[in-house]
Amino acid sequence: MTGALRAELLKITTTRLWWTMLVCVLVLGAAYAVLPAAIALLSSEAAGTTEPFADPGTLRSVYNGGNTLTRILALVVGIMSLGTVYRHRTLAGTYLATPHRYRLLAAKSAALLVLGLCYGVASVLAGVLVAVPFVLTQHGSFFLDRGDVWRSLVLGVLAIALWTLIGMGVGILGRNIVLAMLLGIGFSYLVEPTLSVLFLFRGWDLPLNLMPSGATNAMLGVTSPVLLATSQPLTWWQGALVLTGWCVLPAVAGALLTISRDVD
Amino acid sequence: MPSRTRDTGVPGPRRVEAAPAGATGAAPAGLPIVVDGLTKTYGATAAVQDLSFTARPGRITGFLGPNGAGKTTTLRILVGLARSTAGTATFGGTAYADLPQPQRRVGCVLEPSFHPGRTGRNHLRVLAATTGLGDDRVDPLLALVGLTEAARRPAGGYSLGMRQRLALAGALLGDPDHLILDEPANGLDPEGIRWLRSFLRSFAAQGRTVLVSSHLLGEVQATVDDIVVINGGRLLRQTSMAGLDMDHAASRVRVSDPAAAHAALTALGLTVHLLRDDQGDLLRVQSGDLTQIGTALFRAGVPVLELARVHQDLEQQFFAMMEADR
Repeated sequence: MTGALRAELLKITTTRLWWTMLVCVLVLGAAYAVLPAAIALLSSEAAGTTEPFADPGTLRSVYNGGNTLTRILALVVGIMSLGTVYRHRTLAGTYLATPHRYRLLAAKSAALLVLGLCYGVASVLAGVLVAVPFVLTQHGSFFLDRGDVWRSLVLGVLAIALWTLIGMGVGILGRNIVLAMLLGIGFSYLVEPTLSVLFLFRGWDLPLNLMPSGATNAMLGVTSPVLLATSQPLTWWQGALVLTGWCVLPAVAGALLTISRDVD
Repeated sequence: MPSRTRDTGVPGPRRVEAAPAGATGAAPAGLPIVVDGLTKTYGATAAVQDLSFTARPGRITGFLGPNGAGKTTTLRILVGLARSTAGTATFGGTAYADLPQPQRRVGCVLEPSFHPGRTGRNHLRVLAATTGLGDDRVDPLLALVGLTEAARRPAGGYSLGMRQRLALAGALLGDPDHLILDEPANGLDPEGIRWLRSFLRSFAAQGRTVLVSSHLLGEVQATVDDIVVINGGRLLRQTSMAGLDMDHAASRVRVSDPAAAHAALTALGLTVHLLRDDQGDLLRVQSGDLTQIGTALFRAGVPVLELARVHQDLEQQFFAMMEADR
């Protein structure tokens, strides 16, 4: 088992995808984190208040400002991890090395979890780095003495890791990199926002909270309707549970459908 | 525990000191590959039907049949990539997936596929990690298969021959007792094929089991000890090469008196054909036993002008076997 895990980690680090994506997460995550910071700055100027970064909620939204984008990148990495196996027909070799297929799946999940946590750290780090100039120039506070801020940082990391695993599940289910990408991106950028808007306007909080993004919002404590968040979110741990469910569901469905198949 | 020689030219994880010269091959170390009543159907089509054969340790077994005969399907079931509909394919009774650390028991070269962005060396490092082997085994193997120079280039740029070599290196990583190769000659140049031939020869000489598939008998004729011929998923023939040779052996006899010679040889129960070529009358005898033929003709008082084994084209025999099956 440890051998299979070491091999999976080595597979990740011996191709380019992991670090090109890491750079994307840092750069695009930072770019997205500028948005809530800029909005806070502009709205405080408009309202005539002097301390836009004196509210922990604002800082939390900046720290996880990149999340809306970086979770999609994490999803893509998860899909690619399985998709490349199908695309380059390396599944046979993988099964030869580790014939116990569920053991292999466990090793792959564990390796992706590690990778996802790295992306999570990068995503949150980008947010923190963006916050630095805003807080320093506006005489605000980082609020790093507050438990809720730390919780939001940690859950921000965890949420990205969970999105990586959702991607893996979609990759298993799709069995084809193009199909899995269409499934994953299409759901995240088309189906889910459409449904979320519908739920939001109808005031259907529960289905909205049960969406992957809704659950992520609950974890991060996001309540802004701009991000299609309900005003009545789940608690952070309920959100984490729902998001874990989104990892498990496609992975289990995919595994049940495909794992005992013949490999050609 | 019989002493075994384990020397692929690279340090093995369980390497045992080489046996003294002469003892090599005396004590088979590997287990036989046993295919027993194997059937695989896809819908209504049977890819493999009630196939049984054994590939013995210390020998190279050629697994032959035309394309689509069911060779690859059989090999895939053997290494657990596909499930049989009925019957088993095992290593001395143990299925591939049930072998503890299968890569250390079985090396397998199927269609070589690699992540194009990963270097050949890193591909082997990944396999070494799975098997719990150190990276120190990787470079000697790359040298063994002649990939040292290309080792740090992405495998996506490798030629088919280089991919075959990389796949072979991967198969040998665990210093296995069994080697399974599916059409290994694909993409190899004549030099590579010669190298592979001598490599397999020394591998089997250490008491290990080699099963190599091919759609051309001529390709493996010089390499294999035994052959298993299948067609349409069914076994046509399992025999040693020597046996095949004897079965199809023939001799050419030129005598001054063909009629007398014909009578003398048919009296021994041999099949004799009277032929003619540009030098005159000729007898073709369905036997490779020159002593028997020569002695019989001497006793019959027929002067022998020419007596020789007819060179057998095994490829022809192979195709004849397929034709007969049709």
